[in-house]
Order: sequence, then C-alpha cells, then structure tokens
Amino acid sequence: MRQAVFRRPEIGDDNEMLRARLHAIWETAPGLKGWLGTVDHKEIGIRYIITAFVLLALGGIEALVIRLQLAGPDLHLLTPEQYNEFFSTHGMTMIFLYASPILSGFSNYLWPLLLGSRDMAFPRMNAFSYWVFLGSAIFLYSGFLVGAGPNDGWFNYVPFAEKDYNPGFNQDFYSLGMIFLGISTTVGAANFIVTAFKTRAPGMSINRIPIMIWGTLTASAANLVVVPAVSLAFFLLWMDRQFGTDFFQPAGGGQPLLWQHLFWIFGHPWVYAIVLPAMGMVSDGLPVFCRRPLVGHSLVALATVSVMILGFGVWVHHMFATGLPGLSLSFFSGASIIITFPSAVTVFAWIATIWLGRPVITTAFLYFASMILLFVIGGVSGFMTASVPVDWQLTDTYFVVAHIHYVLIGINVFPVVGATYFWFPKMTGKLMDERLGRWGFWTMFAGFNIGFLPMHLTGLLGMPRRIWTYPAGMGWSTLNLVTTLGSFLFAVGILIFFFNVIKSLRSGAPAGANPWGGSSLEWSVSSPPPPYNFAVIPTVASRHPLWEEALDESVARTSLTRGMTLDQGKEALHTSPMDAEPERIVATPEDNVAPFLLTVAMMVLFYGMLLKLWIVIGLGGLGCFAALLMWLWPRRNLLERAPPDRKEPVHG
Amino acid sequence: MSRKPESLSHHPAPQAEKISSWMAFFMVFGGPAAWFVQLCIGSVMASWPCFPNMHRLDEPLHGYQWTRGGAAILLVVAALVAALAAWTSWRKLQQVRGEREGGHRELSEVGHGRTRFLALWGTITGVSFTIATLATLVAFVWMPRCAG
Repeated sequence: MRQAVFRRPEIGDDNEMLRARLHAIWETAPGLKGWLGTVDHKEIGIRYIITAFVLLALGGIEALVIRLQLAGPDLHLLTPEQYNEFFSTHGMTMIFLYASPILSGFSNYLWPLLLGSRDMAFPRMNAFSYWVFLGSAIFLYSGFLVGAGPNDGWFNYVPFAEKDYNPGFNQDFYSLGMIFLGISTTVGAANFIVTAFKTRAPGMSINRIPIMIWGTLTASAANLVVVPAVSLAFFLLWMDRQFGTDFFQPAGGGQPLLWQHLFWIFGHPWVYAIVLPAMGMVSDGLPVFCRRPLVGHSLVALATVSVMILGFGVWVHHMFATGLPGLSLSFFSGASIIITFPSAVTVFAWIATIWLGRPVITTAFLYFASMILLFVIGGVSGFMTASVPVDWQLTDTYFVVAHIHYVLIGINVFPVVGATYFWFPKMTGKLMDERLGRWGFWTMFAGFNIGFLPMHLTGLLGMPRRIWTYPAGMGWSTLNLVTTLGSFLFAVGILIFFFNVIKSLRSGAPAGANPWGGSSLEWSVSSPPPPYNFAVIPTVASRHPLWEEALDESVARTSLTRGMTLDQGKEALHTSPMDAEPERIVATPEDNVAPFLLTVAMMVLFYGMLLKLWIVIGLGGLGCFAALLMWLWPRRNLLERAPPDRKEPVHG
Repeated sequence: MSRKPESLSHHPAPQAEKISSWMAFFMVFGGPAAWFVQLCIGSVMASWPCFPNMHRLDEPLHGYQWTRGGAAILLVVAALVAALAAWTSWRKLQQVRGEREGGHRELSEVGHGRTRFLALWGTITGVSFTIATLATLVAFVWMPRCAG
C-alpha cells in the first residue's frame, strides 16, 4: 500500500555517482512495454504536444477547405451537409483537441522542471490523461472519417442536435466523444492542482510561483468545475437521442435554453482555460528576452486568478440574443466588461516589461510580443460583444468569427509557437533555426491579419456565420477572397514552423543548459533534462533562482547543487501548500501499461455505447475492471520502503 | 548559489501566524464569492419572473414583485461582504508590511513574504469586487423590470 514515510532525508552534493544512481532508478525501460508504460512527465508532455500539433494540422486543413468554399459567391466545392461537418469538426478539433491539449503538453513537460520536482504528483494518472486524450481524439475523428462527424457546430445547439432533426450517428459520436475527452481533462486538472500545491521545491512559497504555473493552475481549477457541466449536457443529449428522454425537448417539457446554460457555463470559462496558460508562457518567456523581471509579478498572478474567477460569471453573454430580460442580461454584460480590467493589468505589465527592459529580438520574442497586439484586438472586439445592444447587432455574424479567431489564434497559437521556439532547446538540446523562424513568423503574422482582420468588416456588412455559400452582389465577395488568401498564407507560415522543427531536430545547433539566460529552475538542468530532472532537490529563495546574482535581491540564496538527494528508490518530496516547507517523502509509481490498457478498454466501452451493443459494452466494462485491478495491484517495491524514522516534518 | 541547506531554511513568511488559512481564504476569495453569488441568484431573480417556462412576460409573475427588491438587497449585502474582505485584508497588510523591508517595488516584483503577498491580493480583490458588485446596481436604476 502506498503511504507516506516520514524520514530525515539524505542531504548531499550533486555528483556523478548520485546522477548514475538516479539515472538507473528513473530511466524508462526500453522496448514496447516501456513505450506504452512510461509515466515520465517529459515523455508524456512531448506526446501531448506532437499529437496536438497533428490535430492542429488536421483542423487547419479543414479550415482551408472551408475557406475555399467561401472564397467566392455561389461556389459548390462542398455540399451543405459536408460543409456542416467540416466547420463543426474544425471547431471541435481546434478548441477541444488542439488548444487545450497543447497547453497540457507544455505544462506536463515544464511543470516539474519549473517547480523543482522529479515528476507530477500522480504520474500514472498523467499517462492515463494522455492516452484518454488520444483515444477520444481517435473516437471523435472516426465519426468524421465515416461521414458522421459533428454537424451542428462545436456548440451543438439543440433542438438541431436532437434525433428528430439529426437522425444519423453524428451527434452520438460527438456526445460520447466529449464525455470520453472530459475524463482526460478532469484527470489532468486534478493532477495539476495537487502537483502545484504539493510538489513545489522547498522555499517556493506561494508568492514565488512562476506565472505559467498560475495560468495552468487556475485553468485546471476551472476545468474541475465546468467540465462536469458539459459532460452532463452531452450525456443528457445522448439520453434524449437514445432513450427518448425530454431534457431539451420542449414538446416533452424540456428546455432548449438548458442546453445553452450547461454548454456555455462550460464554454466560456473554457476560453480562459485555453488562454491563461498561454498568457503564463508569455509572462515567463517575455522577461527572459527583456533581461529583467516581469513588471508587477504579484499583480499579474492576481490578474490571472481574477480573470478565471470572472470567467465563471460571463457565460450568458453568449445568450444575449435568446430573449432573456434586459435586467438580468445587465448582470452578465457588466461581468463581461469588468473582465477587461485584470486582462489590461496583464497587458500593461507586458508592455512595461518591454519598455523598461533591454529586449533581445529573437523569434520567440516576436511571437510573444505579437501576442500582446493580437490580444488587444481580440479583447476590444470582445468588449464590443459584451455590450448587449451591440451584441444584438453583431451576434451570429462573421464579426464574432473574427473575434474568436483573434482570441484563440492570437493568444493561443502565437504564444504556443513562441513557446516552442523558447523551450525547444530544453526539450531537444538543439536550437531552432532563427532565420527560418523569422520567415515563419512574418508569414504567419501577415497571413493571420490579412485573413482575419477583414472578417470584422464582413460581419459588419451582415454576413451570417455558418452559411454554406452566399450570392454575388452582397458586398462580401472581395473580403471573403482576401480572407481565403490570408488563410492560405497563414497556413504557409505554419508549414514553415513545422519544417523548422523537423530541420532543427535533425541539424540544430547545440543549445546548452540555458541558451536564453532564463531565470527559472528548468534552465538549471541539462538540455534535454535527465529522467530524474534534478540530481538534488533545489531549495528556492526567490522568484528568479538563476538571476539572484544579477538582481542582488535577497539575503538568502537558492541552492541548486546541494540539497535532498532522495535516491532510495523512485521518490518525491511533498511540501506544504502555502510555504512549500518539506513535509514528507513519498514513493512514486513505476512505469505501468495499465493506463494504456484502461484507455483501450474504455474505447471498447464507448464504441459499444455508440452502437448500443450490450455485449461490447460488457466486454469494455470487464476490460476496464481488469485494467484498474492491474493499476491498483499492491506492489512490492512500494512496500519495501525504508522504515519510519521520525514522525516530524522534514527540514532541509 | 551553493550555500548549505541549513542556512536556507528560514521561513518564507516569518509572520505567517498573523493570518490563519481560513482568514487568508476569506481575504482572497470573500469578494469574488460574494460577487458570484449575487450574479447567479440576482440574475435568476431578475429574469425568471419575467421569463418563466419559455414564455416572455411584460410584467413579472403575480406575487414575484418582491424579487427586484430582493436582488437589490442581495447586491448590497454582497458588496458589504466584499468590502469587509477588503477592509480585513488592508488591516492585515498594515500588520505584516514589515515581513520584509522594502517599498512597493519589492512588494510587487520581488514579493518577499507570502503573508504580505496574500494581504495585498485580498485588498485588491476585495476593493475590485466591491466596485464590480456596486456597478451592477446601476442597472436597477436604469432598466425597466422586464424590458429587453
């Protein structure tokens, strides 16, 4: 049985013998079993990132097909049914299968390195969350590949999504796939929260946590609250479709508006969940190139938390046109406008950091800095749609499409590409090509703005969103053509980025441990990091452990070369939530294929539910039970622990 | 950067005992929680009597006129709770200001002392959510009950 063991930890210096011992303990076994069973957060993080980028490419191809269809009036490249599937799958892919998982990938890779720990709090759950993400992506795309992808938009409004109007398998794939994906998100969120509060290096008190941690932490807290709402919504829809219940059917006393409440109480916080971690990347990456700490670190951290809190209270601004009384709408209009205040705090902090720093213009800096501009444009159009009378004019036009793309591409894709340039050297030990990087950046930046800025005008001229085609003479043709050309240019920029990644992997210049002169703990270890991350657990004494000499900001100094060794097996240190004082040493689970097998069994279960084949459902359920048994089976290595020594908190 | 661990073990919040965990929670989350409660309950009280069961009405349902006043009272109570959180935080901030020497720059950029950090957060969130809650009262002055 897994249990905490109170033991005075060994204190030692970083040396070759210790590293060799830790390497033997932490290295993943070779072969298929090791590949399927690894729980190393770095491996899982990279898998998340690669999978999400593949799905970004798929979603991008769908977008280009959509744009070809809309390039001119009266085009018939797609049928209306195909168009519905393409734009719905595009939205589903980009929001659920790219935007959130890519951030989970970076967070998975970086969190233990940023926090000064050896792994996430629950490594097997971490592996499980990845496998479920992959499994649900396959499940959702298997529907699209057999012509039964989602076809009522990513928002999936009822009653269109009900059986009467949509009798195929399309919505069943979507409903069950989203419930499946929700398991991954929930498991991942719980893991991030516990990791943030329990595995920080000694001394990393709550005021010294990097902003990227705040971003993913608040997003994870939001996910824990809102994902159940949307999972419930999809489950109720599936019940309506399969068993004739009337949760959303007005004829049976149901409420279509209930769908919108359940969906948007998830959907809007989700927007922040896929933005705040990316904002955290910029907040931690930008100062490195400005050669100074982030201006207003405390305020930016507070703004991150505040945006997430306010994000819970704005879902009705997606429902301003549903006929609710103005007095109640004013509550949500006010909340939506107020959210600009903490957002502005963050933007001004970034600008001040550049202003007061000595910026080094690298490709990563360009992406981070461009995000500020795109965030402001997306924020301003968001402010406009937060106003009820303005929203009544703009809702369901291309203005809203422009807004969502400025928000989601501008403050998710651009920071993520920047983050790739920034952390690629840490992940691979190689630098990315800067010249190619600049070509890619300017192509992407130009393509994006050529493509999406005119969309605001298209919307103001009244072009509705989600239409398959449009007649000539509406004044939309030229703008749509420009948007299509811009989209293709943007895609070229993405291709240059992908090419640069592959080229740099093969022939990039060696990076060294800290090529950018970063200030946080991940830059203190080799590139790529060893399987155990830190030979000795660091002791942190400031917000910028690697910049202390330059900043001369504290009496005490961070220790990176002497500290707890934790080398009696796969062990981790747990610390207190507020002050990160050492509390206990816990055993960390070994690699295991159970998370993979559990996911496979769950896929069988979900396909059985889709087809209503009870024998397949039973087999899937049995498989889940067997995999869980394998996962939880008592293990000798956890029993053979050092005996309890002292029952008192462990201090370095 | 390789000092002995023993010399690194000074507490990151030497005045931690001046704020209990519950107090810290109230200071930081009292304002947001009050705002969220008034948002959800207030909007229901403002909306449902005018729009019950998919039927839009020009006047609130008979017997539900009190909900407008109820929502307004809820708003004021929520604003008071947020203000109390702000006031408590401000007082604590004065008490723990000496957790580490340093002016505003150290507080916002260097951030020594998590107790002072939390007190600062509580003050800002308390004041912000008091204002945010009171701003919603403007709607009660301007908006007809079931209009829109």
